[in-house]
Amino acid sequence: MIAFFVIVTVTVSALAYAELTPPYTDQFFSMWIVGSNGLTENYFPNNNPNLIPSEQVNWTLGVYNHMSSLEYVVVEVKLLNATETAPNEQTGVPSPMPEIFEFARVLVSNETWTIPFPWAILNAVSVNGAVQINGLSINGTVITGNLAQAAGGLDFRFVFELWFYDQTAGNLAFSWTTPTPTPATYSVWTQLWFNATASS
Amino acid sequence: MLIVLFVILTNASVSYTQAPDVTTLSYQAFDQLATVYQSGGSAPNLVSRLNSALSLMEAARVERAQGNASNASALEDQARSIIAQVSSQIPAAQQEAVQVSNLRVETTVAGAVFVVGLLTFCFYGCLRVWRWYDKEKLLEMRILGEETKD
Repeated sequence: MIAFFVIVTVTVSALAYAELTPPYTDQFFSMWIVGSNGLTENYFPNNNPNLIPSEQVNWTLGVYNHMSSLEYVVVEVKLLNATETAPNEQTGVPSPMPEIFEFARVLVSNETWTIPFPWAILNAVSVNGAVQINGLSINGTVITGNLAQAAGGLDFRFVFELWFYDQTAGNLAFSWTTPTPTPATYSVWTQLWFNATASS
Repeated sequence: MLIVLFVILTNASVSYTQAPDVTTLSYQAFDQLATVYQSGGSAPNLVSRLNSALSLMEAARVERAQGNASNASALEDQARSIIAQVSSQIPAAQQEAVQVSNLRVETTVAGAVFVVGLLTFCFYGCLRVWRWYDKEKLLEMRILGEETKD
């Protein structure tokens, strides 16, 4: 009788504990870019990455929160050439280049956020054999200034960095470290390359 | 010397009275909102309103980049107002989350105690019935045995 009582108590307690404790899941963010048809193709008009000013490009960014918690995320958009330093996921260091645009949102656990990203080069000029982008339109917003320069107009790239609000540090962070199973640093970023032709 | 002292005091007073910028306010609101979710609760309405404030902040940044400082300030004021409203409603949401969480724990523990009690009672009842049946069967066998002997 006592043995039966002990067995039932242990079994039911274990079930109650499992009910009250959320199961451990891998914690991660993910980010992606899709083309105009919502797939990983057709990123550029006529599949031609050699862009001329005013040519409209339609991308959609996606961000998924699998951190099992509420997260304040910021997508920072940077325009780089091939030689400028990209983010490093091994060390968790972001690109040192300044952002030209950003999107911010609070995501609940397991939420996917899609961000329309229509853009066009508005002004690009030739400078000593290089092409300098001086004007961009992103989501209808005009951004001006010396945004990026690339030799021959080749290998510009949009870099998208995922930042999140670190409650411990009280600021935005680009990378996070997981304690289990082995400590590792993670960060999320992606990029797409294109070439630009100067305005005639 | 007096002028320097005046400048220092003026700067100190300005920095003391200066309201935190809207981004810092959004971080603070998020911090509080996150505790609601960490307690096992949820507040989708507040999350949605905080997101609308973030959209206004984004629009304000765009306006400021385009040189429309007054529009940017107006949008930031709207965002600040929404964040203040969200922050004011967070304590109630936190309290509700704690209550829901406590109720969940209490329900689970009470359910576990009830199940253990019920199963133990059933086992005890079955044991008693079995013993009674066994005893009755033994008695019947004895009577039958005595009848056969006679």
